[in-house]
Amino acid sequence: MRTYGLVVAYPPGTKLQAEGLGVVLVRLIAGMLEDPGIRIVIACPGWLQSSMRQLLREAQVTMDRLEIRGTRVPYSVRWLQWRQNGSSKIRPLRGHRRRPLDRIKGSVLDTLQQVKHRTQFLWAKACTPSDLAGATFWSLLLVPVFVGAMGIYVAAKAVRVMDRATTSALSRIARIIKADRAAAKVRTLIKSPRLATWILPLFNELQELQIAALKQLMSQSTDVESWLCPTAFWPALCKAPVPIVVTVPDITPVEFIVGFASLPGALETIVPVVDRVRSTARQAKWITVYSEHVRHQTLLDRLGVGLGRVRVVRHGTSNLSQLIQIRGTSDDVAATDELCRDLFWSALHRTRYRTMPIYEGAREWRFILYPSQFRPNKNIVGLLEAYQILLRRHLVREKLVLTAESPSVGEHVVAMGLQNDVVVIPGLSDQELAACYRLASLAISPTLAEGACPFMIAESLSVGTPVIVSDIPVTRELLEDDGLRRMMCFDPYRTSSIVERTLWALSHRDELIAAQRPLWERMRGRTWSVAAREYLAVMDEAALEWKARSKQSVGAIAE
Amino acid sequence: MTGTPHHALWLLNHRTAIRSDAAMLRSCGYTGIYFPKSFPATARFRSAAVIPHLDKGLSLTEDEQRLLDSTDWYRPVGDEIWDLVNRRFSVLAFRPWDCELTRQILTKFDGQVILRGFGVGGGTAYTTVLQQLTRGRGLALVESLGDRFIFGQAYTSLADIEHEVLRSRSVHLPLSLPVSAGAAGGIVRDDHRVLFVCPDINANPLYLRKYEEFKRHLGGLDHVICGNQAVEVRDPAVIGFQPQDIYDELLRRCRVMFYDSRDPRHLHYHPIEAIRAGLPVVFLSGGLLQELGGRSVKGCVDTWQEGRHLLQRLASGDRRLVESVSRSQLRILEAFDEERCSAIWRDGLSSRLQRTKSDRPTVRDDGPVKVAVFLPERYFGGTLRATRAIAEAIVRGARAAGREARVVLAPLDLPGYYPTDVWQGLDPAVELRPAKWRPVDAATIEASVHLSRNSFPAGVGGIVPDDGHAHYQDCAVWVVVSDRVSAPIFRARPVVMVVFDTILRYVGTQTEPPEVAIARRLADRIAVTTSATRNDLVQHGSIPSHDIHVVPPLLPDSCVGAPRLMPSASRYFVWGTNLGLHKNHEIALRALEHYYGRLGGRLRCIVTGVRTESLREEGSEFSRMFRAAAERVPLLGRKLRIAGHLADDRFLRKLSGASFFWNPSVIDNGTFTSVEAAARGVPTVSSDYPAMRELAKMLGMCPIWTPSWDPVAMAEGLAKGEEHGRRDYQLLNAGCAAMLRGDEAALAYWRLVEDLA
Repeated sequence: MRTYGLVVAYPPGTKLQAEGLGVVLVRLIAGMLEDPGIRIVIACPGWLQSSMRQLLREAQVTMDRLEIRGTRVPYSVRWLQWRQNGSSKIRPLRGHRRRPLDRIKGSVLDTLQQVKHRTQFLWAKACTPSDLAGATFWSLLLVPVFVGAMGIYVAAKAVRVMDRATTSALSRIARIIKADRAAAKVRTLIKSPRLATWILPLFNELQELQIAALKQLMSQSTDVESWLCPTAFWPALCKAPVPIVVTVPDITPVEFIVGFASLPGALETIVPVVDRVRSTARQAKWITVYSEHVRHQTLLDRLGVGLGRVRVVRHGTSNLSQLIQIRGTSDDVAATDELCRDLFWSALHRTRYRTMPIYEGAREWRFILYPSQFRPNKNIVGLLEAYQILLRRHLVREKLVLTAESPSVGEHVVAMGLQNDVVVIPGLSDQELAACYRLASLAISPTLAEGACPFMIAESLSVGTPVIVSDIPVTRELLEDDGLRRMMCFDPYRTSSIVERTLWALSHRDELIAAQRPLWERMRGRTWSVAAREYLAVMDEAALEWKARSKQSVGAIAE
Repeated sequence: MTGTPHHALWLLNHRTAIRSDAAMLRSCGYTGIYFPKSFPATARFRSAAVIPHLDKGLSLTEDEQRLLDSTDWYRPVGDEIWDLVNRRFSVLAFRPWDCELTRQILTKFDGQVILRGFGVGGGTAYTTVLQQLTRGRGLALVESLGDRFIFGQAYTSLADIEHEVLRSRSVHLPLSLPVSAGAAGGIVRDDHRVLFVCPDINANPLYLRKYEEFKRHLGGLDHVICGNQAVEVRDPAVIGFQPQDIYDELLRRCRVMFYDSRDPRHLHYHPIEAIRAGLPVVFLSGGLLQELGGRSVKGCVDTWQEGRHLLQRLASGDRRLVESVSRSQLRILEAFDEERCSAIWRDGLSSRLQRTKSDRPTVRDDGPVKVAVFLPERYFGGTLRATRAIAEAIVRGARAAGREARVVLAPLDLPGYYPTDVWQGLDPAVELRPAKWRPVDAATIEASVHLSRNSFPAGVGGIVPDDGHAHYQDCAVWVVVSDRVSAPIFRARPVVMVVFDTILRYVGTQTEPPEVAIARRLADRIAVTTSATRNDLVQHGSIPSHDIHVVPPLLPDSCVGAPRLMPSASRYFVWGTNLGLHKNHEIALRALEHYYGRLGGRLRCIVTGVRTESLREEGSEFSRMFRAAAERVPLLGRKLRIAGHLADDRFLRKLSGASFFWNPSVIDNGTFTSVEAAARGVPTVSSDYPAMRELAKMLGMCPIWTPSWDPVAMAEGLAKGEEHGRRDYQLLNAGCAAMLRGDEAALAYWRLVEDLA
């Protein structure tokens, strides 16, 4: 059994499920574990452990050959996490729960109401003297009950008045605090540690401390042959006294400078991250990238990194069909479609920007799908412009489904009057995403640049939906056949090109998917276990070189 | 009375339920029972089965049997099937699944109707399901059946959360337990794993939640999870569906089963099966299992922690505990005892059936049906004509079907707004009664909901038509022409909404008010005249396609006549338009600019249509654009003439003399003016959009198509129209046009309202 390590050091509050890397990480781990002779150790700050476990559990990765080693979590971070989790758990209940006092009051009043009604009824139905006697007796019997109940009611009212007085005094104090700027900062600290920009340096310092602890943890993990850091955010890890391979996905912000620089808080968030990636690329001894484009254009041409240190390991292929494929019914295709419609329907409740109610007919919607995050290179506004032309001029039946949630996307959608036809569904689970792909008439990726060939090509083809993509270097690396490239690629900088290819693809759907089938057959052979083997080979290479260097240095000292 | 006595049509396929129900029905003297021979291929029907031997004893002919077997009993069925069902069956049981089928069952079956309830799960009542499926009409329909309706509840607690209408018609029809092979064979109890049944983990969010909860609380114990997994689950503990013999083996060898449902009105079969096999079941309190076993039944735990503790003890092989729990749980089985159940069925069913024999309808009421046809908006042109045509079509359609219908035609009550000749020559069976639409407040709606048993969305205002008498409630059905209403209509009567287009999807930046969408969804039936509009309603209004009925467009009188090719050279063409955004004025003017400026167009352009005289007004957007274009191309200024709105006969005369008719709209439901033109030998130059294509295909017309967004291509279309004039086109298939005016078309409109009446 050989043991390999993976290391990540995201700051507190990070939800790995929401990070693009989370997907890569679980698929890579699952791919590595397909070899029964491999064991994986994940090293991370203690604050990431539960998020990591949840990520692995949701992806149904078995834990028997997997170990998570976390550093100790500072009390301050524990408190913040507890505050964050606790508040989100408690808050939704408040609106629905009736207070015990109200419940008691409600049931007492109900009972009294019934008793009163019953007594009136006895009087009303009396026809004989004995009936009258019965009603009188019953009424007299009730006097003490009413007196008692009134007593309870008055007491409850008094408690309520006191309660209100206290609450209003407290709310007055709260209003005073609310008006105070210093208090506002305290509130921000309490409520949202992730968003408070001024607290980031504190997190960064904490993170640096944690990275130092991680380095120690890694050096103590003598059972691990070599390490892989699947992203390039933490240059300090390159100095860990262990063999470590670092993945540099891309440095897209330096290619779309204005777009990224215009994002809110770019100076505090994006710039330091890019600097860290640059620093990592400079310091790392063994680097992997996802494409030749990043190897040559980003690392060699832009950062001057020697190609000898850089290996290209492309992503594995994601076959989403197994998440939705139903087997064992009389008509599996219809059953799978039905499941997908159910999943789509439930995901639709998270829709943003819609102004009209959505009814069951939405299960039959035809749509074009662009699943992506919101980043300047994703060209969402370009796609919206193209879609407006497709809808308004060419009267396409399809809606446009996006997964990128951002206020600026919302603004564009509203300004174009497309609220009812552009459906933004954030936070799709893998299974919901697979369902969306399957139901889509067409998947589209108008991205302007990527460090790796978009996942969506394989994801879409795996469920039998045709896909059209931007003609950019990473897709050219994948599409060797010029005919197919012309068929499924467009110039993402020209709206007319996006419109023309989309119209063609919608009206030649069967032809397109037939032409893309051989591509899918080729892609599906490159599973995540194949990609994982390539990573392990690079890690083995790093381990060997590390040992050789260690021997050399020991020899040098001995000499 | 119709139907063969003691023949039951049991529209259920749940494997366990149909076995039990068949046995119970036989014990009640039912000799013939029919179960559907197919069911939807979805994961929701994972427990469904077709068991052919269950429906012995039916006295059906081969043809009848074949017809029943080939019927999809989960979708609406045709009238010939209902004739057969009414002839052959006296009882029908169903579970609400499809909207239209549920409505058919409640309105078309003459015998005893049983809503068979086994509990919906998640605290949902059958009332809710029924009302949602039938758009709030279910309770009223059930009530109208009187004692011919039974809510056949498998557990006595089901009726507790139902509406009074269902509760008062509830009869306890319990499930009996079939003999399980699991009970046979030697019990070993050497498998220490906790047995948990959880199907469809990755195919059903409810079961995924159950699975995750189980894993979180009890994942630390050795366990095995059974149940059919339609979608793969990557967990070695999940062993999926097991054949009966292997599952029986598990029941014999495992020491304990865990059951997690706390649902007080739904019970799965597997814990009962386990108890019968002597396997102790640890279950969470508050569910139906506890209710059946009583408070003191062993194995019932209040918390997961308590459950884990008990499971550990049972799984470790504490024999005395195993025996004591198994013995205690035997009392749960008493509720499923076949003899006891059969006695309950006999008592409940036979007494109810005897009571209702005299209530069965023998003769249908075939008197005249009164239908109201509303036009709730100030429409003047095509929609106004269509409203009148629909009213008359209902009368003609009813006559063609051998019935009599009277129609109350209700345009907006706007004295002096409509010219008097609009209503001239109305069919005598059509009465004109203008309507005022009045808003109704929440209190009125709430009271009306109670009175009518119809549901209405909470917190939404409504409108009702007012005729000064009784709000058109003398009419059995309301037909509302167009969906342009200010608020959802409170449906004192079933509503059929005729929708012509969804223009706002394609033009402008305004979105449709949500009230329109709600009003559309509340309609009992939606009708459209083109499949293009149906597609738009699915995409734009999220209305399910099976709820939308496509009926033929009704051609007005003006569309009649064989095309006449007139050789005389015409000097103008007619641009038919109105003030709507979809009429595409900007692009049309740019096209005219190109036509006169670059292509040397010679024909004059006559602009006509409802309210088009206002296009001449200073300050209007059109006049600003027109002046700018005329400055650039003076010929345009000389050649374009705004004729304004013309009376029908003047308009048709003008159209007859035109070189061609021009329709540059972005979208609509297909313009009838092109048909009127074709009937007069005048071709059309038209924008290319789906509904117009459909209309042209329907009537064999071949317009010159141009894109609605490209002024240059549009101008070229105009030049082509000028060049070819009135000669080279097949203009109109007179046969097809006659069909759209005939009884068959009218019958389609009658069918829309017939069974709602």
